[in-house]
Amino acid sequence: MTPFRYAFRELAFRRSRSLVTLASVAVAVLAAVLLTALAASYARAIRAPVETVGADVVVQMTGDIPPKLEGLVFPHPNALIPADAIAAIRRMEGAISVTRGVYIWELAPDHYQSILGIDEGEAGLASLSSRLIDGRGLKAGDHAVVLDSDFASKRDAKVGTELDVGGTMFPVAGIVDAARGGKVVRADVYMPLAPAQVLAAAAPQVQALYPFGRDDANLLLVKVDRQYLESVVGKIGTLLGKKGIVSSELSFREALSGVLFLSQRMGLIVAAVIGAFAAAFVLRATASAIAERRREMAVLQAIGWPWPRIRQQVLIENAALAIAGVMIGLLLAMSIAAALGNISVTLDLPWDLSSTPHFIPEATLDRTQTISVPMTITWQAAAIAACGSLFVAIVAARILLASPPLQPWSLLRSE
Amino acid sequence: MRETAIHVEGAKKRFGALDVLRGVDLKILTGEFAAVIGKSGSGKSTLLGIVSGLEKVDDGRVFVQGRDLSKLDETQKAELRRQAIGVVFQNFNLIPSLSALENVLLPTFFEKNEPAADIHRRAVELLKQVGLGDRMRHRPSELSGGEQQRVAIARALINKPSILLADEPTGNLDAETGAAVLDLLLDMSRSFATTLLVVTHDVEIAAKADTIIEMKNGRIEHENT
Repeated sequence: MTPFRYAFRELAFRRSRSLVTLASVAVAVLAAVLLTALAASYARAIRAPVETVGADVVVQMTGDIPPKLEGLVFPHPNALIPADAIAAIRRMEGAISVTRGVYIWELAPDHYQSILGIDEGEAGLASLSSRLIDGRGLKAGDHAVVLDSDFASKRDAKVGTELDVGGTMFPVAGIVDAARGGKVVRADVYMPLAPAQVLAAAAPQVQALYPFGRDDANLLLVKVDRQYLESVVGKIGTLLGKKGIVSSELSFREALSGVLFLSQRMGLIVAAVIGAFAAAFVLRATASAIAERRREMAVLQAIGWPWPRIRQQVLIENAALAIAGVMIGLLLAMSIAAALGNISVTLDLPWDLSSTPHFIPEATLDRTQTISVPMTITWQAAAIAACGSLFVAIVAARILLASPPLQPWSLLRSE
Repeated sequence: MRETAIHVEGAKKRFGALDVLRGVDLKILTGEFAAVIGKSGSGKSTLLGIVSGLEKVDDGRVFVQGRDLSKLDETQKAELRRQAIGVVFQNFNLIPSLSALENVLLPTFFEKNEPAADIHRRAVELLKQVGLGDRMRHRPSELSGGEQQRVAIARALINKPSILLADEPTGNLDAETGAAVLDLLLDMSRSFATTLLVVTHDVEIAAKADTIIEMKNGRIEHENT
């Protein structure tokens, strides 16, 4: 017979106690793993709006309202960003790349369209290619546009047709999937940066406010090394002053601070409380088992088992229960996560990140974005929960069996 | 000349304010069957406890197979019990979660020199010898008192001990079963050439012993060979 066989026999014999201990561990592991998965999902969700544009930070500047709301205008949060500021941002520690854009509204009596001219690069024209559902993407130098699928279907525009933008006709080269675009820096019409700069430089309502040239920009998408995110956001804010609008996941974190607090902090607190209760259960169950088996342990001493081996036998039993409890807890957590599928978080986008003018009726609807992220269990959370459970089970046995009973013969002797 | 298996010298033991052993001197030779008799509270069970090493004397010395128990640490005493001493109790004291065979195998857990298959064979043989060849898979709750005590005897003998201690082995059995168990105990100890020290209040059992040791108030009153 092996120690494991003996342990199994013992655990099966004291079924109720074994099940209580196992259930305590399973519940603690389930709570800890699920709550951390939920918190991780929320954290991923708040990164998503900005991540969908392929950047970590969106930089804009507050401007004035144009004298007339007609023709090509810059949205209120899209004033000219000074060239020296752009250069300074490129040089900041942690800034990986800066993609320039020109964001324009075209306001006509019978229609409205938003236009985004953007640099080449991962956060620029290349990010459109990954969302294409028809036609081709754009390169710098192209005189063509790619349309948002919702906009294209409203205007009945297709690949191969032409679109009037600010009085200039542009062939439609492709259509991008609106659903995958997110709501941040989303436009109806996308074009390379140069033609957008030309349009802006020639627009009377733009020139009325800013000396916008053919090499200027009113929007920046900055890719940042994550460890420098807070620092870069702070430095850009300082550089641009009160008129600067610097948006990142930190902005959403603030907006969702209540939810995040609940999911992260409260989640950890709840998991810790459940863990503490489970540890207390395990300790109590172990203590009861030991009390019940005092005579049995005395018998083992009488037949020649050294005390450390007796203690080891109880440790094996407790460890086996902990391992079984961890496996059941993890299985349940994975099943629940799979059943829940995705976590949906609806975010209210700040006005300055909305792609639609506030006076357009759809603006209110357009200002929310629902992010759906899968609820996934991280191996780190599972490992911590597993190790914690095993630690409690082993320590409980070790503490309670630190010393052998003083008078084992008194438990065994004749009456 | 036979060697001394158990030698107790001036043993004293106190529990709280109660002097249970008040200076006990005893010598039991190898192969001898000695019975310790006396009323309840005379100290006879405690005597067995100090010989087994599970109780420590407050004064005096105890030698088992020539080894002074006071000079052994707990691990060494456990090893001595495992290799040289078998114990049978009044309450049988079998492990309830294990079968009869598994109970018999318990003292062999740490055996490194003998193959497991041989140990297993020996355990099966022992159970057959005590008449439980067809009950070895049964748990103690499925065995009668007499059957449980037979399992306990087999467990006590599995490591071929040189000394067998029995604390009121028939105390919880009816007369007929008790007599059968005692005969079995005597037969087995003879076939294993084991020194047998039995604590009993039953004079009939004592009458079969080579030496009768009568205890009273923590002292040996008489010793008749």
